[in-house]
Amino acid sequence: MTGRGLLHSRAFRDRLKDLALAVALAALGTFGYLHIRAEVASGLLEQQDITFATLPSTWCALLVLLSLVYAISVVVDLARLRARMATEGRDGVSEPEPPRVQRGLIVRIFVTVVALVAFAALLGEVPFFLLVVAFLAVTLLAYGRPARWPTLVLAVAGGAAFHVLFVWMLKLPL
Amino acid sequence: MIEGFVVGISSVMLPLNLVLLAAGVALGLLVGALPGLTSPMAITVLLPITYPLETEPALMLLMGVYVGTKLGGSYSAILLRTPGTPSAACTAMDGFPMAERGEAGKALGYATIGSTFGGIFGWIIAFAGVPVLASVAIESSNADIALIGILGLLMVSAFTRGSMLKGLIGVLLGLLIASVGLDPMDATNRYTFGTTALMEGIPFTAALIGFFGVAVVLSDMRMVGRTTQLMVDSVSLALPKIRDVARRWQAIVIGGLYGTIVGAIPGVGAESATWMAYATAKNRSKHGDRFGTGEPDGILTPEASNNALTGGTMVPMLTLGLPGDGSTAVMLGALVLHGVEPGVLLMQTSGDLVYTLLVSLLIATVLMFFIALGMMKYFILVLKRDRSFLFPFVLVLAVVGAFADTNSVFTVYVAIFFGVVGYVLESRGFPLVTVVLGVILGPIIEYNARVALALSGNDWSTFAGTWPRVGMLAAIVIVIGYEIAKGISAKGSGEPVTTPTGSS
Repeated sequence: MTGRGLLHSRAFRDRLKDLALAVALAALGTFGYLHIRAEVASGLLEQQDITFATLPSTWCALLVLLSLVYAISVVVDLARLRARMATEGRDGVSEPEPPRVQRGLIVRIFVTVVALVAFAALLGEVPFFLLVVAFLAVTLLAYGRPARWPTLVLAVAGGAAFHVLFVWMLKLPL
Repeated sequence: MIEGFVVGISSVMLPLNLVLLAAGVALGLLVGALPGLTSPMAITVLLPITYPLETEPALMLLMGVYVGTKLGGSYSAILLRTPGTPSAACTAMDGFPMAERGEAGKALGYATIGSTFGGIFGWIIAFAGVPVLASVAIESSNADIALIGILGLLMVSAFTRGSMLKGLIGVLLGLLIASVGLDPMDATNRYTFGTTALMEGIPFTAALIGFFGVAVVLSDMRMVGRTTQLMVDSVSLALPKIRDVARRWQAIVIGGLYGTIVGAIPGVGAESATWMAYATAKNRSKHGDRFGTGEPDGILTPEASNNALTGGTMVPMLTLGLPGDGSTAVMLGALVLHGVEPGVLLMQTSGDLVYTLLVSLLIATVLMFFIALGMMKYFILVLKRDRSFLFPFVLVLAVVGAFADTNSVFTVYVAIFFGVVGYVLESRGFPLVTVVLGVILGPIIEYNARVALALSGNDWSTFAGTWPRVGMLAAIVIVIGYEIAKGISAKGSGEPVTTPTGSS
């Protein structure tokens, strides 16, 4: 069973994502622990049983421990999966998923996040109504609404409704 | 208690409060009916609209949404076999077969009746129980509150969807998020990295909006482009006859009991209650073999359980400051945002508010019945549409909600960040409700633990100093031990170690 063959397996790729997340969580816990202990070392503290660093250190240590347990369980699952695929004689190409569907999903998520960041960056710089209309138009198009006037009307109507609600009625400083 | 009821009813019946309560119920029915949109999400994105409101009207709106989603989830469960909320999955077992044989209106009628009576049942127990439990809870010391918080977080991890390991990791992430900012006791900077923006801590609303708003939309992106074919093109509610409902009283009581009791356990969530109630009703029924083929009791019981849960979750929320599920976690956040400190002293400091919330639960349940009766056919029209057109509007509400909390764009960036983090965690099976509960309970646990130690002269045995505390410690050990044993047993048999329950 070659590595490339294994990577064609969706289950295997899911486990790899789990492993990456486990490593990231362990790294986060380690960083958090070292950072808070450095704060303790650099500060002046009276002798106390429990300080500002005690519980955060505890949470970080537990996070590292549990993340490692999670990582180990994923590695064990990966080994079992590989063994099962080898004994069942599969060529590693199992559960294929339509690449177009997956790409479309990733594009929509990416566009959404970028649109949100742009919305936040321009809040206060661009009139709220225009900003909302642009955001709604971009996201509606990204989600498959047809690029025709009904979509634009929906975006403009949405922008107007939000402007009335948040700026006129609720008087938010947008 | 009667005095409290009078206070509550006079507050709820104020025109603005009543209108907001009704609007919340209608919105909740709609949100509940749409698979992918959740009650915590709806409550979270409505938070900005509540900022300029007084506390009571704000909570009326949120309470209405909470109650409405419980029944709304049954619409798609019956008509599409896809539950609008996780807790409505059980209703599909008998609701959909009934719709298949041309009795969709009748199925919806049983769901409405079950939800209404279940909600009233749960309310009765909550209204009677909250004042009593509050008088006991007020005697709690700092050590008790810290232990209750830890036990609550452990139970959430154990009983929520997915494995306890993932639940605990989620809790720890939430506790770490809550650690950011100035230490509450000696004002030392923690994880601020020299930035003044973080000195006040991670904005709580931003975390809520990120996890329950943005992350949910990102997770639901796979639904974009899908329209749904309903079992019937049009349907009108057909309420069952009173005699028929009276004959099925046991089904309603079973659902009501499970919903209320399970709802009172922090974090367990509605899904567990509905399945347990369904199984019990099936076993006790003379026609148990009909369950799963369109048996009315198979709809009455889970729906009664679903709405009785709203009363159950009020008990820990209003007496201990512990949320019963994700929605009440957000409502606790709303209380904090409106300057109300939840916890064991809530009944003492804001007794009128507590009774108002309890009475609003009853009124919302009654309103739910009438609004469902009159507007069901419009809700069903929305079910047919592609839900993608809703997501951009939800995101605008999320952005504005995050901004309005502090009038700062920084909060929006925080919400987006947590939205992406929440999406990644959710995609790998980590229940986000555990993270949110960690954020809420972290400061409470830390403050009370440190005060308890300070008062006892740094004597750790104070946490086992009374029999209730010993009991809680024993419960903590038992929960951890049980989950470890379950995990080892499941690994040995090669089964996945997950709990098929959820919180919504």
